Amino acid sequence: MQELINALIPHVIPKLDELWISLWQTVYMMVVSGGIAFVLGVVFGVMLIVTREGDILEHRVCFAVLDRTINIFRSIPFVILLAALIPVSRLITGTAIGTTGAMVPLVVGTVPFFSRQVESALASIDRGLIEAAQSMGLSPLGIIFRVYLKESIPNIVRVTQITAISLIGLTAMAGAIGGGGLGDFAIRYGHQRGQTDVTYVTVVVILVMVSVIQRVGNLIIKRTTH
Amino acid sequence: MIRLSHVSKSFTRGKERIDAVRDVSLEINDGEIFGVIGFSGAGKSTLVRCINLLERPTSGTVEVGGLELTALSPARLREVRRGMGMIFQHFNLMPSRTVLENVIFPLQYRKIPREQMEQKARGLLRRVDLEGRAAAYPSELSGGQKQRVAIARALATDPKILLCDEATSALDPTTTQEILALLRSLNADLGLTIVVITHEMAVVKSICSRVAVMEQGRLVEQGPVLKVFSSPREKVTRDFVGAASNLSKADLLAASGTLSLRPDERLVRFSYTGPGVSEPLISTITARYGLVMNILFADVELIGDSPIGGTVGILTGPTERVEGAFAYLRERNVRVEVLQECKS
Repeated sequence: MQELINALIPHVIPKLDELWISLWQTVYMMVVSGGIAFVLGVVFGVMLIVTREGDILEHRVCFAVLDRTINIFRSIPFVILLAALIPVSRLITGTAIGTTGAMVPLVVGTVPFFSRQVESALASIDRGLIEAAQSMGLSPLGIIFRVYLKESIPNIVRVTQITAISLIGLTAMAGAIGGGGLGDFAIRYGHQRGQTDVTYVTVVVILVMVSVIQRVGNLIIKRTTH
Repeated sequence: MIRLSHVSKSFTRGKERIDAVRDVSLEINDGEIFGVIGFSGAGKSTLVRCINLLERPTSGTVEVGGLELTALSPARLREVRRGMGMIFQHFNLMPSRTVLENVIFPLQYRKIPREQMEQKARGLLRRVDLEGRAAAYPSELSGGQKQRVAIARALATDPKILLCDEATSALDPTTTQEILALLRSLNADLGLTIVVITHEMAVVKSICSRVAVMEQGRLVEQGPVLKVFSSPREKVTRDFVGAASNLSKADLLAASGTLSLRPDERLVRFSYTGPGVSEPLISTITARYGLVMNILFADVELIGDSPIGGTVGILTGPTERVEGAFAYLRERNVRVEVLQECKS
């Protein structure tokens, strides 16, 4: 057995510790930047919805500014964001390199995409529900939490899955500024030193992460859809 | 008392201006069931939304129970809205919540103990005959059951007024009657003022005491249901009465040109508007004026307790005697229409 493993993935076994560290770096980036991006994305997504024309807090200027800013940031490729945001990172986190230095670009790269996703999730709420809530005397805040967000939980979970999985892809790129993580691990050994087995193992590990996200999400969707 | 004074509402869609409601003044008394009828696009849904200010009128004032709603702050307006329930054509139940949670929903604005809210909700569900479905989700209910839940939800805050926006339009005739019976009993038991928006005359006939007819944003006619429908002044009202009875088929028949008449024949429609339907009018005119009436169809409906209706047929006989018969009928409040005559 030991021999078989050694034969199949000769370069991975000596680096198990490093693989483990890389995995945690990726998880760390995912949780922190994903968590911040989730909150910001939901806030912006809700703002896009409630300030749009004809909605409960219609506000033309607020909507237009948010809408265009998101479009601008969505059109910047992530690799460019990584470089361009170095000064901002330094300002916010005190460093522009390493796992912590990758947080700011990860958040900025994820929030616009996720905001749009949340917007489309909330947009699928029937206008009639909002009207019913208004007729019952709910305040705008009440409508946001008790109708828009509560009634879109399955859809929000669905778009969170999509965003979380694409965030794994972004964390891999964060290796470019020394962010560490699985992507960085695979590039350094698998690509640059030609140890292909390292790449394969990394891919399998990421595959496991993706299926965990998918499974957990599907479970929540199943529980909240009636 | 709900009082709308010179209420207008217009929307701008791009460059286009749509006047959905034009200068409508209306009074609805406490404890009555008031109907607003109109074809789709007549502005009736917009009008009912002006009562609880889901749509803010472009001009005019809305008064409910002596309070001018158009002058209230948003917070005060929300408070007033809790005193007005509303139900909708598509029910608008919260799909992620159970029936019980849906009924509790409007109560959660203040801190009432959960038990007390549940007790209240269960009482309301008993009222609408849905006690056993408290744990079900809206998707598991039929249309009629959904509307019952919506009614229970609308009643949760003990409103004095219930606004119904096409509440039975998505339901089949039997279920419609069940919902209307429920509304009628709520009106009788709780003294609830009910405003019914509909395009179905059957709904107005079955539960409303007064009705307003809307067309192109204007209120063209209003009054007691019997009076409005038995002697309609406006064309749109006649269309409603006509559409509700078989007699309108005669217009189609005349328009189709399939009927070929001899020179002494004509296609006629007699409409009875009030007492007198029980008199044997057709027999009388045929005997008295020596005419022959070939009845194609006849229809008599009850509105309130009074019958309205009519007869369509081909009347055969010389012109002067036919004119005499027409005069006789007109004297007895029968509307006479000649729909088709021989072309020669």
